Amino acid sequence: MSRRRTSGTADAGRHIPWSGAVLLLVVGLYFALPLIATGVFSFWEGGTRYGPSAYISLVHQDALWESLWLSLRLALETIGLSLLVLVPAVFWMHLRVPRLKSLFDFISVLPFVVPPIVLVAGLTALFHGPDWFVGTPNYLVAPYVILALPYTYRALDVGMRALDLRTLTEASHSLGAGWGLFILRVLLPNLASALAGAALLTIAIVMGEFTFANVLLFNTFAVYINYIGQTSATEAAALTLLSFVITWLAMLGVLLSGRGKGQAQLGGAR
Amino acid sequence: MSTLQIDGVAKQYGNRTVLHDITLDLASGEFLSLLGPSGCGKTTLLRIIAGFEQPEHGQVRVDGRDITALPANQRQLGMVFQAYSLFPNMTAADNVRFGLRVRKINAAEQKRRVDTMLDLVGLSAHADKYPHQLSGGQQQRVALARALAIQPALLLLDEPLSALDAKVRVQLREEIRRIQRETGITTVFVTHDQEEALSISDRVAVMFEGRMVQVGTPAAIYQEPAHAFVAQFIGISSRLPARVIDAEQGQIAVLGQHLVAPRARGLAPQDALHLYLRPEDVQVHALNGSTPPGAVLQGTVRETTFFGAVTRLRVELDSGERLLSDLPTSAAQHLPIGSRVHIGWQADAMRLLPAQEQP
Repeated sequence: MSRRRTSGTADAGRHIPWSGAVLLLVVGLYFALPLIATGVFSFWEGGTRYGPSAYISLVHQDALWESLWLSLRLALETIGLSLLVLVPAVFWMHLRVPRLKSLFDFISVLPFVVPPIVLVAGLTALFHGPDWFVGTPNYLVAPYVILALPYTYRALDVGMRALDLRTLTEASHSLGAGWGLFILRVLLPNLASALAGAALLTIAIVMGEFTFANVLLFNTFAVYINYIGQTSATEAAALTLLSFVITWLAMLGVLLSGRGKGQAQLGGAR
Repeated sequence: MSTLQIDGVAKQYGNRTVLHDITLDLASGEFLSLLGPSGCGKTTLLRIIAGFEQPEHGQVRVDGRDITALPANQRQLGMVFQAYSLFPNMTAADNVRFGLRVRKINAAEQKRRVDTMLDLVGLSAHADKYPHQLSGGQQQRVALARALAIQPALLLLDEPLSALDAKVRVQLREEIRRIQRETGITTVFVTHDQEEALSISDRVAVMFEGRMVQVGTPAAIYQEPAHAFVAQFIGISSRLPARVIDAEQGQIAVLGQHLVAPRARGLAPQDALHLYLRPEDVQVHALNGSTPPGAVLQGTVRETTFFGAVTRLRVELDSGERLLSDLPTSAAQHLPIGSRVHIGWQADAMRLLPAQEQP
């Protein structure tokens, strides 16, 4: 009797009520319809003709590939600089000065409350430096690190909180390892998911960032999408979809990396 | 096998002194437990030995060599931690191998030592498992194998059993002792569990409020407490007020009764004392008109607790003090709650300590 009831409860748990199904459908349509419409429009060739001409045209535009590679390069540089600064900082905060966590949390959300246009104005006024930095797209890495800070910090913070850093550090030292060996062999491998999450979120942010690049007159992928939008509507739709796919792949990577073997699971899990 | 000397070690956190002038010597191959309640400084002392804390004063020497200023990773000491400390990204075998790789030992020797160590802790079949695939007891065994693989000068165990359930704890502590005997490694074991300390140690150092109040064999710690804290912390004791009447003859007064106490010889007359009695040393007889030999006081049974072969009686003396007595259950059946009883004990069962020495 009780088995039947338990089984019934489990079935009820899997069953989605009709009100929930309707809500899911409405939300799904809200997200999917613009994408479908954009996709259909990207294949429109005028009148009643549909075909891949927008995509073919895009593929043959060197400027597109240049902007795409530039954005990818900037994303990689941003990831490198963010991790170089944040991994030691967050590690040290967790290990030695956990009382500063609220300060770190506060600083990490500042990019949310300061609009990008204010940031870029401040950057223009404040940053003076060599031409190879200020005069090139490399300059964008500085604001991108700040822009990605909330996501990078959160990913690293969650990853490090899942580890007993003090015990692992001391265990490693007691076995003869110095800081370098500990970081390379123990810390980074156990933060693989967190690092992958931080990196993929950064890629998603940098690929879609428009304000900084446009104001500072650099031709990144997002700026090129905007330019195409002003000259060819169907190609802009195709590019938007392409950008969306890149972002989605990055997000999918974040989700999948969180399920991997590298995810820290400390003792007593069994 | 190595010796350890701790010489006048003191440690402060801000204005709070957590270790007062600790001095301790460990012989080669000795198993010593640091025993005490939470906050007594035992883990701090172990961390100073390991190199994770620096003392304000004093020295730590291994085989006569001063290692006080040496970083933890250069001390060649093996440590097992209270928290699970295996590296989650490595298998059991890789965890054991870690210290050997750090030392750049050749691959063949690494494999031999990993196999030997996993065999020693009975986990050869689990070599390829990750920490999250092992139980808590297995993880601590791997941690022990990892600590021993580097052939350390000392083995430091920081409450390695406290996160385990009772049955596994008993099994593993016996295994730790077996492995320690087999390897002959000098070991310092930190615990707050007196049963653990008394059952596996060559010597026990009892710590209280940052001081080492007594160091001795488990039997000496139990039978001859040298400090009021030890008398109350180790095992169960009843305490009665006493006073020296005749130091030469070894006579004391306990609740108006004059008793001969050999241990009172040499104490200052009129010294206020506390008399400690183990429940197993307290004899209780029904009050039935005749006074049995050795009877000292009278009281009333207020509570009985059944422990199987033994029953513990809580007796309220006529003076209002309380005493515990462990009797064979068959004898205790004749003394139900409310029974009037004679209470007595052997002269050598009395442990006397100065009354001002309050824990």
